[in-house]
Amino acid sequence: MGFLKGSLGIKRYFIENQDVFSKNRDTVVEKLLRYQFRSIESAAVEEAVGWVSPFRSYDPALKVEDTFLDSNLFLAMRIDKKTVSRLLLESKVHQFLDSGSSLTTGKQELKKLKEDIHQELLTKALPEPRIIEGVIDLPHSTLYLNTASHRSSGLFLSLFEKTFDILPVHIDPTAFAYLTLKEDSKLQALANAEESCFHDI
Amino acid sequence: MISDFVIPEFIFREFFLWLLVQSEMKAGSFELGGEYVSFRVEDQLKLEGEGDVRQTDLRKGVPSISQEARSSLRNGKLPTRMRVRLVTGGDEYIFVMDTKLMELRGVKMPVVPLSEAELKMEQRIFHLSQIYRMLELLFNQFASLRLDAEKWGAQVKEINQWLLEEPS
Repeated sequence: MGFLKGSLGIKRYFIENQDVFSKNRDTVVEKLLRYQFRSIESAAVEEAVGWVSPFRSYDPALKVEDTFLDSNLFLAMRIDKKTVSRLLLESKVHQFLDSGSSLTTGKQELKKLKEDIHQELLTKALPEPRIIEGVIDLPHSTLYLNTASHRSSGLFLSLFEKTFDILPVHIDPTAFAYLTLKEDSKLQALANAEESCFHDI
Repeated sequence: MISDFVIPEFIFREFFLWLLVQSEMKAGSFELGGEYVSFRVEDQLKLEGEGDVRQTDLRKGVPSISQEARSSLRNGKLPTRMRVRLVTGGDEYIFVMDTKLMELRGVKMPVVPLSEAELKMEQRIFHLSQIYRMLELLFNQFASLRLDAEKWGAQVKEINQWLLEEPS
């Protein structure tokens, strides 16, 4: 389900320096376009990651009006992944060897043959696409990422960093406490607190 | 925003326990910044002991009032994940939160009856920030008790008393 509909799985990040977003909106979109999604259909590539329109996941032609929704910046990262089943690969390798078209005997030759067949099968495999959405609440310098997966959030942050030269800070439990309490003395006291005893009563 | 301190996870487990017990004792009603909110644990409660080896997963109904929950708590386990129903200002939110990452999962928010994406997004972000605002107010309330030895001592006594009671 997308950000605009259904239930969400949220990871929260703080953006310390968001100057880049307060400049010209076209500049932001230009930066996104530099890392727009490029299809890997018919290519011997296992995975591709890039920005697409949040409203049209097939469309890497991003527009300002799709990206800036009032005071929020709406981002969608598409991940396409292709896999070649091990069984299919083994079967194709054996088929090739049994056909007698090659006299492959050495380990290195066999490895090379496997790689070649793998590449060939990759070009024929259909990619499985996924969309990871993020929204930057600009007035609060907060990025909300709609994913429960650590790998997906890692890919999103890496693409975000390449695009904007900014790495958002994950609001983990300590950061949550910091944002809430806002005082180092309180944080330090909590960090040094001893565990309470609620059992063996 | 980089802090020199790391808050140990048990603080958040104690926070969850405090929320759980307070919500049971006060029928879910909390006063936060001058307004009353309803905070109830429903359908999902995970309790863990030391080393994360021993754990109890309670699902369906109101797990916090079950005999199993109290028994696990008395045996030293503390809540590490719970599904919450939060009602504030007439808006109802349901979500799962955990002590390890303080991330939210399965977040259900009021339906926004708007078709325009811009307004819809504005509302969704408002609702998300409301959830975090409430959690921050609750944590603030917990932290001021937790950092006052006398007040926290009284809370621990109250929690231990609740643990000894038979569920109604």
